[in-house]
Amino acid sequence: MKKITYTLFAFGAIAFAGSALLTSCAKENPDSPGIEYMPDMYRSPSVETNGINAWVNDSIQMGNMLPPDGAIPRGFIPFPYENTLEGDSLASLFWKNPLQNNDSIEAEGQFLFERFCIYCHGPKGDGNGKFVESGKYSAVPPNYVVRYKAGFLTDGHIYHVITYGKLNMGSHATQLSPIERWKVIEYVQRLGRGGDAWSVYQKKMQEQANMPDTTSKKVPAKADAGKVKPK
Amino acid sequence: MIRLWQNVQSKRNVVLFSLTIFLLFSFNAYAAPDGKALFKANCAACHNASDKKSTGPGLMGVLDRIPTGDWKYNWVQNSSKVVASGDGYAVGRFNEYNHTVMPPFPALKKEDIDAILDYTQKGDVPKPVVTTGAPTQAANATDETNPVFLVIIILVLLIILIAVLRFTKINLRNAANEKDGLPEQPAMPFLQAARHWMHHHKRKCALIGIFIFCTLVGKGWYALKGIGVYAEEVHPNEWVGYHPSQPINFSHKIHAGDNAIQCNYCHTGVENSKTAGIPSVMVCMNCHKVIDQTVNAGSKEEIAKIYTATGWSPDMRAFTRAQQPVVWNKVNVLPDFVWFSHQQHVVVGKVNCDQCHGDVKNMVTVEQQRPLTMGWCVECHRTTPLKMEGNGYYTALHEKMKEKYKDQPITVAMAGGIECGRCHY
Repeated sequence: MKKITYTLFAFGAIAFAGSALLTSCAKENPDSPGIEYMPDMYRSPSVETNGINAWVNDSIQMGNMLPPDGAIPRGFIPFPYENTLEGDSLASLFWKNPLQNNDSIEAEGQFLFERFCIYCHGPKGDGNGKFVESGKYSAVPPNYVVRYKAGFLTDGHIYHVITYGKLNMGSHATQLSPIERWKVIEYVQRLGRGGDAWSVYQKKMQEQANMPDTTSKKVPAKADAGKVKPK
Repeated sequence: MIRLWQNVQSKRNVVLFSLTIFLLFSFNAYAAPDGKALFKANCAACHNASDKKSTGPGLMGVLDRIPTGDWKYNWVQNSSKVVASGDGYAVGRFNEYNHTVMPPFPALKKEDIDAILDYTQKGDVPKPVVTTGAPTQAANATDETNPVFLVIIILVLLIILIAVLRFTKINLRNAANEKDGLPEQPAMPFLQAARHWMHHHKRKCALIGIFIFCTLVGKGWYALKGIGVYAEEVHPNEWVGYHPSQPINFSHKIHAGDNAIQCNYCHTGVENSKTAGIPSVMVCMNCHKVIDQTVNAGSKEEIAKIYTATGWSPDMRAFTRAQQPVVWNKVNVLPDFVWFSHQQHVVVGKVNCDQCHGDVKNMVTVEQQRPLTMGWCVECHRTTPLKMEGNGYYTALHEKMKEKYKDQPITVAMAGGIECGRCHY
């Protein structure tokens, strides 16, 4: 009986000390996550995304590394134009949208536009997004409608700007895949035309083409203004 | 002749009248071009109205710097021509701003240019809007006293009480013995006395021992269950978890909360990758090339850390320095033995970010707000209905399942969501 009592007391004391230790340790240092059963499994020596891989060598310690020079993902079409003004004008002439425009692609483009562009370029594409409006962001983006009328809003030019950035705008190439860029471009074009959807726009263009007399002067100015859209 | 003269006069009147009208209207349109509006529409993409550099120089007080005369009109209407002419000031600015060509503005008339320069000469320093977010770090630490310390204090008090009582008891007994003329009994050492007492009260001791043992083992068991779980729900919907400090005091409250930037803007991997991804600091530069300071305290120092990491020189407005990676502290950690895909949950399962990451929009320092244990995962898989709409790939399978489980809701678990090999392989 005596022995059992002592053992019980001893066990109790150990359990008590243990629980006291565990509950108190976790809260002491906010930078420490606390006690782990098997730290190897939490911070594994294998390569983890965004992790530090110190084994690469002593100088390179980050996990986020660039692929070897010239490596491209399967099915990826490289953008052949350079980040220069010449590259911009070449792209606006020769880099064509592979997507066949329709309303569902514009809807997807709108979804992406509202995620990535709307903060500065604004819901109407007039460069009056909420960051610009509130004065937090001092650089005012261009107005799509003005650029469209001037003939600068070509697909290739927008692609060049999204890929490399322009002036104060940074490159969004890491955030938008090439196909997503084309979808955004469709929506930007729609904003540049004044917000009408592709089906409405197409109908309007057909109607204007069928009425040669009065509007014929306006139609080419609108249709040829840098439009490189495949029909 | 008179008729003719009258005719001419009336014609002249018409001409004069129309000229007056034209002048009136034209003066209405051009009398005072709105410098601010013109600046916003044409110049603000590259210039600030303050003295802060952007892609081009800040235009505050610009008239004091540039050559006088028609230089300003020539420059605005076609700057590259002025540079090509070898003008000293123009070439100097062209070289200073990394050979960035200012596009020509032939549409701007001299009055417009004057209006713009009048507006910028005084300067227009933007007043930043005060954000509602508190710049201070969230006080996550609770002021509650740890119950363990309370128990220890009570125990210590009890021991002192026992010692005092024992001391008085021995003294009283000695006094009684003295009175009765008996010899003074030597006091037993404490441990011996305790053993003596325990020897005579075996049943009591056993009961107390079992009670203490059970309580403490229970407590210890729960403490062990908490190892490796870094978040607990202290009150309903109120979580306390692991919230390490980060190398840059990035506030999700300011970015995702007050400014309502969508999570996917930075964590782009979430829809097409296993991991949502820590964004590259270059993504920060999409906005912070321009925003180098905000109203929040310490913002300038924190944004300067981004510039150090990316190698950006704010004065030269180019990436000229060496890059230094930022080593962030990972908060929500899943161990290596579990396979988890963000893509699957977000794209197919349509799970919102806050369901597993908590109220990130109000976090100044990111905190783990869900336990991320297997039980927690499995519970969700057991209760969440399977999203079958718009998933064309598995239509045949879904039809089969609808037949099989006619009356009950089809959950993720029924599609194999709680099989071991689903996550552990």
